[in-house]
Amino acid sequence: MNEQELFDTWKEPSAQEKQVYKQHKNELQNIIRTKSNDVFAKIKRNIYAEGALSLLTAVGFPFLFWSEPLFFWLMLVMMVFAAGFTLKAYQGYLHGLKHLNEVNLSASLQKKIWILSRYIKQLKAYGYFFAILGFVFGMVFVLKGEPFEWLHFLVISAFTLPFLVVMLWMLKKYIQMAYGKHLNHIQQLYANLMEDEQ
Amino acid sequence: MSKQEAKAFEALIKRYHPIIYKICRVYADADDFDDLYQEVLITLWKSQHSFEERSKISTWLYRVVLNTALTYQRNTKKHKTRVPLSEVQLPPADSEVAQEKEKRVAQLYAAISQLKKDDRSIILLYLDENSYEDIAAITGLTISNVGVKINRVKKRLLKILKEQDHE
Repeated sequence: MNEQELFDTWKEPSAQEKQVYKQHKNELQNIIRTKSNDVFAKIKRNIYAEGALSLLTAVGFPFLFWSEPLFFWLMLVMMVFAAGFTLKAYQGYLHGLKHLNEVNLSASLQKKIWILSRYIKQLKAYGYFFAILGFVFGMVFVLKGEPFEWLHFLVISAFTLPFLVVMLWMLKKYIQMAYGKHLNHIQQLYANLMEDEQ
Repeated sequence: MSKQEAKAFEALIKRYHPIIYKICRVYADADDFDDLYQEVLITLWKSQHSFEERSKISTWLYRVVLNTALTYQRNTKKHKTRVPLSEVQLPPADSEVAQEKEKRVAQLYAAISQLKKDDRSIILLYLDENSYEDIAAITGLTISNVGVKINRVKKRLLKILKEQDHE
């Protein structure tokens, strides 16, 4: 095939092309009503859900420690800070997600890399933070009211620490599977696209 | 969604269906085609209000469709309500010439699918006879780099096609 044949073949509408149009024409209304499967559309949906959940947690979680005033106020202050940071970060994402596919390919890939990198970092930070926080509070609850003994502390730690390690490992795997692979793919695409660019 | 909006969207899809179809076919195999096509339509629908008349509508459309296709991730949950492309019954080609034409088209898509993802964008924009300026506006590359890339990708594509002929 020479170059002219290449153009001629490309221009020829195939039977399949016409068939696909006929097939989708009648379903257009239904298609545009369905939810997007794109990872960035999912992040956008997650952001709303996580934002609402963060607020609810910030308000509700400290009340679990109502009977212990010190814990209650400590948790309340921490949760208010955590919710504040989360909402600020989400606001940044929502801004970044605007017009994500309407800019040129290079700019869109850059934006997508930025959003995914930040989202992954944030998921990891919050996941690790809450897992460790839960572990520490669990330990304090188990040990409180008893005179501190190193042996007791070490035995309990030896039983509970592996759970924490497994939890952190699973969280890391989940984030890599759900978002990390996609980020690597987009980074590779961007590097390829820009390879000769000055 | 108003009737007027729906009509305008239908008209847009009808007019640009060849471009949308070609991009989806270049970036998806038969199993993923429907999912990607659907994703592209959803993205176009959501983005249509942001179209600014400063740029050409074709530039805007190429950007939206290519950006969606380039970073599209396969959906593990299939849409069961729709007939997958692989099951679409094509009308029988009525002549040897038509059969030959379909074979050539399929060969070309197969060859383009062997290129790197970003190179596929460049070559399909070139084959659609977009100017270097338009390709640069769609991809965000400099015009000189567009020229360099087109030459390189074109050579690679012709080489793949040549190898296909020998097989």
